[in-house]
Amino acid sequence: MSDQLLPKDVMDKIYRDIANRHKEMAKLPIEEKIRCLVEIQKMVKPIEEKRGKEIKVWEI
Amino acid sequence: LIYLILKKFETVPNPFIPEVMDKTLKVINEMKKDGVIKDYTIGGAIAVMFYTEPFLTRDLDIFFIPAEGERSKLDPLSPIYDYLIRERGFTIWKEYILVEGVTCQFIPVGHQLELEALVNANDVTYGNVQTKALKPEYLIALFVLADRRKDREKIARLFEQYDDIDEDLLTDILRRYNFYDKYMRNRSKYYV
Repeated sequence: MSDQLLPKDVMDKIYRDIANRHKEMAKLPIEEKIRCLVEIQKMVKPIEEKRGKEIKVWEI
Repeated sequence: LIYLILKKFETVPNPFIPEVMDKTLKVINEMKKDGVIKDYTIGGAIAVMFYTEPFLTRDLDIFFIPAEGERSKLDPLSPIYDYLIRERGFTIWKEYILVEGVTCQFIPVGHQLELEALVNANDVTYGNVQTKALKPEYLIALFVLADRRKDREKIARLFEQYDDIDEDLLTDILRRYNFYDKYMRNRSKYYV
């Protein structure tokens, strides 16, 4: 019996779509990417603080 | 049509809205103009982000060529501290200088590969500021040199998300600096 729970072509498509999504995000203008980075910093800040680490969220 | 126009403007920087980091880059350009540093380029994670999706980083790495002079040779960071902190009033936050709200790390070029990478960096525009960012091939070579876990992750990101890596240029750089064998050993394991 195979360990494969879903057909391989279905899983391949999912992984392909994920990779394409990353590539689409990579095409955003750099200014947009930096705005995203600041949002990521805001999200990570409380998690890092709980670990006793600090992160400075960039400002405009 | 309106939707398409709005959609287009979503991704085009608005020159009237200040961007995060553009004031920072203006200050660094002024630092170059004032002769505090000879030249600079954006390196590290932010340079990678020019070619990949956004991801977490804590700082803006600035690789710089120190200005001429004995003082710059002995202590290349002190003219930067004098200029940014004493003259311009910016502050220190942990190991970074906080320039216009952005944590910056200034790294003098200490290796011939870093110097070559800086000289060949891409001219780019950020908001309405002219600056430079390292080319992906040089970023990969520098990450092969540093070879920490986070460096390997960045190489993998570049290969995964950026289709225009110049393999000939990359091979040439790696061969000239004797990193090619190391790169090939790591390639299938960590990068691709």
